Amino acid sequence: MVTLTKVKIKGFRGFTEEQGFDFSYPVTILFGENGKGKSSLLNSIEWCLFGKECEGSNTGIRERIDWEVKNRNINSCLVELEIKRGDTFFTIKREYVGVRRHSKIYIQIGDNTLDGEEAEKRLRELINNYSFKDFLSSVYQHQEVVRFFVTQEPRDRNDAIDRLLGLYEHRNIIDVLSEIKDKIIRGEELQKTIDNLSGDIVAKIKVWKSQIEKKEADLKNKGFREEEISENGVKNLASFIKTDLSNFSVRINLNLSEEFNTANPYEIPKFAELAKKEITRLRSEMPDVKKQNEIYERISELDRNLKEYRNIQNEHNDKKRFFEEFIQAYGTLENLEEQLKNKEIGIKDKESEKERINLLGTIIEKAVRYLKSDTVTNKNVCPLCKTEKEDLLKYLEEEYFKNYKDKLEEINQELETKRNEKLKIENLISEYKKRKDDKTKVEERFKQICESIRKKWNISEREDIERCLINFLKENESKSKEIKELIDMKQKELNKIELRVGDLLGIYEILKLKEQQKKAEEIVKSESWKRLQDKADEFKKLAGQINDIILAIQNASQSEARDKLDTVKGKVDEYFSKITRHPMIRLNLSVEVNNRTNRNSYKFSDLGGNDIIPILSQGNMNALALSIFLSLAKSGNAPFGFLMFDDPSQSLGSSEKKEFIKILNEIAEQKNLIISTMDREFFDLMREYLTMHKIIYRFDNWTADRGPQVIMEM
Amino acid sequence: MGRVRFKNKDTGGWNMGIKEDVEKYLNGDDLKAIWNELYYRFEQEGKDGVKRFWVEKADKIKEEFTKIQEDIKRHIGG
Repeated sequence: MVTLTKVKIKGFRGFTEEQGFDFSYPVTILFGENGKGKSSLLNSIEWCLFGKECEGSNTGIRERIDWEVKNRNINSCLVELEIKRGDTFFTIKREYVGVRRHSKIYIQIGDNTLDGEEAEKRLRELINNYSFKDFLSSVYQHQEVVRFFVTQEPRDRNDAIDRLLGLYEHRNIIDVLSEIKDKIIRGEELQKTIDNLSGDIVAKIKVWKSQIEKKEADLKNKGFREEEISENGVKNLASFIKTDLSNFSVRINLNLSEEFNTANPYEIPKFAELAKKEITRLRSEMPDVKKQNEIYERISELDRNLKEYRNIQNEHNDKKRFFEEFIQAYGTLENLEEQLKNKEIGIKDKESEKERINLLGTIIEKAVRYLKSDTVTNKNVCPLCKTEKEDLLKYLEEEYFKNYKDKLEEINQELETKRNEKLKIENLISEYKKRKDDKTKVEERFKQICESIRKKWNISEREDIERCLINFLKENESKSKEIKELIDMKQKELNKIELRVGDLLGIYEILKLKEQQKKAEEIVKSESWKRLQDKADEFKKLAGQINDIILAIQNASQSEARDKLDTVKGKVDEYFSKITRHPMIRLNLSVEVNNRTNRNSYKFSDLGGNDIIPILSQGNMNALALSIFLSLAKSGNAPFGFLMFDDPSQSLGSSEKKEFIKILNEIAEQKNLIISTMDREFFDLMREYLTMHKIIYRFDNWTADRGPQVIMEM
Repeated sequence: MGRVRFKNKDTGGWNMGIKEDVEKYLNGDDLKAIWNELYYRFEQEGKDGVKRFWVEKADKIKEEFTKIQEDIKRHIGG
């Protein structure tokens, strides 16, 4: 029997600094609020003994998923247990190394230290190869056991019992296999695909059949006979087409292409494509078509020349008419130049007259100014001729000067009129020259165009160009009509051949569809189809194997559960009755498999077979969980001289707690007890009613950098 | 204590191990071999390992199935 005497812990879960605990007393109580490090201490014992086995989802403990062993605030993490077996003390030290949850282990026996695999092996020997699963069943009452009972959820409760009975691996594997069966390997999946494929093939055959019937009916309407819609028929038709095209090409004096000539008429799609290509080429290259194109070009040229001729002729006539109209209106150039000359003489005369009057005016003006000056005493004597005239100054000012001014104004007006007339004549001369120039240029262009047309169409000087061009146009249009009729006849011949190419492809498609139909009808009897069915069967078998394995795990799990329950159910009833002091209930435990979830479903009934769960209080459920654990611990043959309880009194009433403590007293006669609790009442009751020697550790003031502050009481 | 049946006589524990327990309920060597391989994957990789184990098998069959199916479709054409 292995007993635990001391624990040293550093950097594990809630612990940071190294702390030591004495577990050599029959009872060790860990007391404190939640989150102060009590569970970390219990977990450290478990981890030191079982290493990474107690981590992760495989443990069946939900809180162990993503469970961190090492405290984040400290670099090292180690747990050291001192255990005693017989009279020998062993020190087991496990240190976290951080890679893939690995740890190093050392065992010290006296002066001898083992490490690594040797140490692991020695440890297993010390604990009789007792498994972690068994440890959870009969040494360490994890707090989830009680919590899941108290929640009253059947699934959680069944989970907890499975874990207590060491069946959580069964449960985990069944869960994942059920998921695979439902979501990944649905046995009929591939068979359904085959059925769908088979349905598709039948549908296709139906469609093809209907297409064949329609195409055959179309061909028969065109006069094809049944035997012509066949392999031989299609070959004959291809040969006919080749011959027809060959004859046609000879008739129009055009060679067939080398590619077509050498094509195999029995390779239908390729031959049909080449035949179509050849027909298109013959249509465009036949000699009549070339001739027709030439005539079209000639007609177009004649039309263009005729338009050009008519345009220049009209322009020429217009310019000539404009010039003649001008001469008629304003005379010839000689007339206009004569008028201009006369105008210039008239202007010159007037300008001389103006100059003379101006001179006279100047003299009179100066004479007046002279007479008005103070130096002239006799104002009646003319300063030029010295003749005397009464009131000479007045005379000069009023009569003579006045006459000069009026005359000058009159001459100026006449001059302006004559100059305007001169300008008008000059403009007419310009206009004359312009019209003459335009006429001359158009005459030259007209001459050039006429010469060009005459030369191009071989029209003599004596012939009328316009008439000749119209006659040529008529001749060519007549030729074009004739050749078009010839071409239409040949195109019709080609149309017929082209239609036969279409029929050729039609027959070919019918034959292909029939071939496809035959293949599709035969496929379900083929080797490939058989292999496909084999794969579907293999898939079904896979699903069957999953079912068989689920069934085997169910059977193993159920059988194991039944064995264990049969073994302990008397003890469970005894403990349950003691803790609850329930007057009515005599417990009977059984297990069934839930066919929906494939998991174990535990029944708690009275001796009459009635389900007792609905009448149990939360305290009763707590008691039931503890009873099962205690029974397993009591009935098993664990090599451990201690039991660990984590928060066992979660929902127990005061009297139930007292009764539970009585049982603990009985157990403590044989095994040391390590009890963790946050329940003040339970703690006080243990202090009062647990009669064995005990040591108390109070967990308080937990801080992230220092871990829990633990005070020891005796 | 007379009624107590310790599965594992060596350890005195309740549990002999799921691997051996389940094997007793399986018929045929093929199924036993699959179970042993499956359990090995569970031990090594947890539930994901079990999932992968079956997905690999299913994918292999599905892949071969799809290949034959495509051959058939190609053969029929249309």
